[in-house]
Amino acid sequence: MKKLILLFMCFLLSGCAEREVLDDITIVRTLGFDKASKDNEIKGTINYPIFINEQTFKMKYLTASGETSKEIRNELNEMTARPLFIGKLNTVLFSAELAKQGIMETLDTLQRDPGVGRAIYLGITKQDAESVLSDDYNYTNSDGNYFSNLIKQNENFSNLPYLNFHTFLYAFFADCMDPVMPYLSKKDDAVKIIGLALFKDDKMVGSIDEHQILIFKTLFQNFNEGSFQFSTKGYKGNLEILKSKMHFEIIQKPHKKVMIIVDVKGRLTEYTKVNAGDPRVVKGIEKNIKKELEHHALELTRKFQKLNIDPLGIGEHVRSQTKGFNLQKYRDQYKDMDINVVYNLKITESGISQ
Amino acid sequence: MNLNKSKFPPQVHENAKIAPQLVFFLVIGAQIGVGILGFVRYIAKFVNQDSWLVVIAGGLGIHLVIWMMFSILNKHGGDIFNIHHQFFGKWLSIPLSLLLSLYYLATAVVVLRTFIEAVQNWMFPGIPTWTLSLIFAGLAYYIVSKGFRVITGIAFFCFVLTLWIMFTHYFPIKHGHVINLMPFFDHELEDFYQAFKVMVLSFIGFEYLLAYYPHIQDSKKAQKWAHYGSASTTVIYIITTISTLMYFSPKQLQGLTWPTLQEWKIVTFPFIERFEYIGISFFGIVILINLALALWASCRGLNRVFDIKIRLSVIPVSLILFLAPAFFTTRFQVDELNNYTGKIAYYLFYAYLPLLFVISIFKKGAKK
Repeated sequence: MKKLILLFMCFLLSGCAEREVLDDITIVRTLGFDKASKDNEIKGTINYPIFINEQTFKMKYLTASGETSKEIRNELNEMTARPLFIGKLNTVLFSAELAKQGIMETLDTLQRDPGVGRAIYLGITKQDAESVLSDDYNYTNSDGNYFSNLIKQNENFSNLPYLNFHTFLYAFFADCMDPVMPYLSKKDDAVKIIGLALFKDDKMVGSIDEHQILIFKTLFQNFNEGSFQFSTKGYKGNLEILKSKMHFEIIQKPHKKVMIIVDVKGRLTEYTKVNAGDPRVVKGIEKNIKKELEHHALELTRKFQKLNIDPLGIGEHVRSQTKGFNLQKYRDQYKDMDINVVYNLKITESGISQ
Repeated sequence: MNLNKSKFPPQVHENAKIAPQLVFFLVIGAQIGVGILGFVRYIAKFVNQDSWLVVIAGGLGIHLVIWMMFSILNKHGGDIFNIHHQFFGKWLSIPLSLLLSLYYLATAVVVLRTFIEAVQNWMFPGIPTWTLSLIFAGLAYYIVSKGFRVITGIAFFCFVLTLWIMFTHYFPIKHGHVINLMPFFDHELEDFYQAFKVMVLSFIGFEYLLAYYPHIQDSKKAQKWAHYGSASTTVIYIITTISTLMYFSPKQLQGLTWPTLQEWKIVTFPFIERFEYIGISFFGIVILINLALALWASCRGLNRVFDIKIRLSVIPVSLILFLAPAFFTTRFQVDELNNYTGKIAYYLFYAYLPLLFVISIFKKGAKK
């Protein structure tokens, strides 16, 4: 009898929660934010699929303005026949114009929503987010995951560092680190990653271009895949990176002089005018590429110091190696800190032909 | 009704006893509860990257307390209620035993309320507190009314069914930053002590042993298994602490109510994109043994003092468990509830039990 009652209770409770049937909701895939024409208002764009029949669906977009992202959401809700559902959101884009004014208010709302994942991607668009989202990119966007797939595949198989919502929040809240985001631009029928947007707190303060992304990645994290286009005097070529590992040393305490050491293992996949089968020649190329890498890396760190930002998290490394770390003092001295970068390059192969 | 039955040593029928090895599951099952979802934030507030040291220290402290507990129980036989009677006499022992019973019940309320809060925040924002507390109080009632051996069985199943959750720490550790764990020992002793005090809340659960000690066959042999259980809990907590510290930057961590749940946001499988919903649901199983054991220990206290059958006393006690969570409505109140219980547990483990231990040294042991 008791068991029967318990069983009966289960049936009673199944009706309690709000059901969300796939066909009855609007599944937001991408969110975009722009500056609105009115002051202190932002414009939000959502991008979502409409199912035409069982197999095919089309992407549609909607735009609304408001002072907060919740207000925008309410506005948008008033325009859709089915309630907005944000659980499958996978990319959030901000226009560079808005990002320069700060985006934390918007991100904070998303952060508080338990329905929003942390593995979603963030990005800055050079154009208005609305114009980027309104295009269907000749149906390459038809599955609605175009932007997230773009960023994801570039992180996994190319030069883009591993970045998502979590890494942004991590860097934003860290004492000695500033966030970065992929910087995107619409080019004809596609969206291209044109660099990384640099942040000071939640405001975009600059960017680095696409050739510097790889250098940034080597200084930022360990990874196994990437490629570096080099051009030293006499020859051009491409170095495919098989393994890159960085570590960090304080040369002069407490934080006067630091050194970033990057061990890179790679192979030449493209080169001109040299005989790469000769070990002596390879040694020479190694030396030249190393010099070029170091040169670019120093350019980057100087740029960061000039902007007084630390997207590489150098300060976090310093903190982890300093007892009784003095944050204020470190911040005051960051701009004048001597940052050295050393690459230990090893070219192991040169493709399948000699 | 025989007032103060605790005068007599407890009589437990051989059929109602459990093997000493099973104490392992009872200890680990009762210790790991909702605390694991959020404890790292509380200790990291004081000692940040040194948190895992505090977890180790906390675990070692608990071993000491378990050792003292067993010395008392082994020497004087019986259970805590009988020992109260032996040490403090008839009239003082009654309020002490009742307070302990009340404390046991409070631990159940803390666990249930905190879990319901997590469900309300993460899964069903609109769900009223009483529906969930009805389900869990009902289930706990059902388990407790079937006796202690059933509780032990549930403890075993809880352990087996939920151990795999530990493997999800692989993801945050993979994406984590080792540098967040350094430098070592970079805090004042005072901070360590504060964190140590906060940590006690997460180790609550082994003290139910004071009540179920007579239900163990060959009780003395169980000490080993209680130590193993508590050590395993410590290891699980260390892994949790390290993965949380590596995954979040310090200020980010302080802004999160349930860091462990947040960690699960990165866990994705091809067949399930959002793991945290699975995780929270499985925590329903984890807290079930917490509730059942606490409820049983509380009823056992009433049984030993007033000679009320557990089958009867469990009805009002589980009713309290069902009603109490509804009185705590805001995050702040739930937090306070946790803090107070943690403080009480701290004094129970590190003041009251040592006191009993000292008394037991000077008291003659039970007649064999």
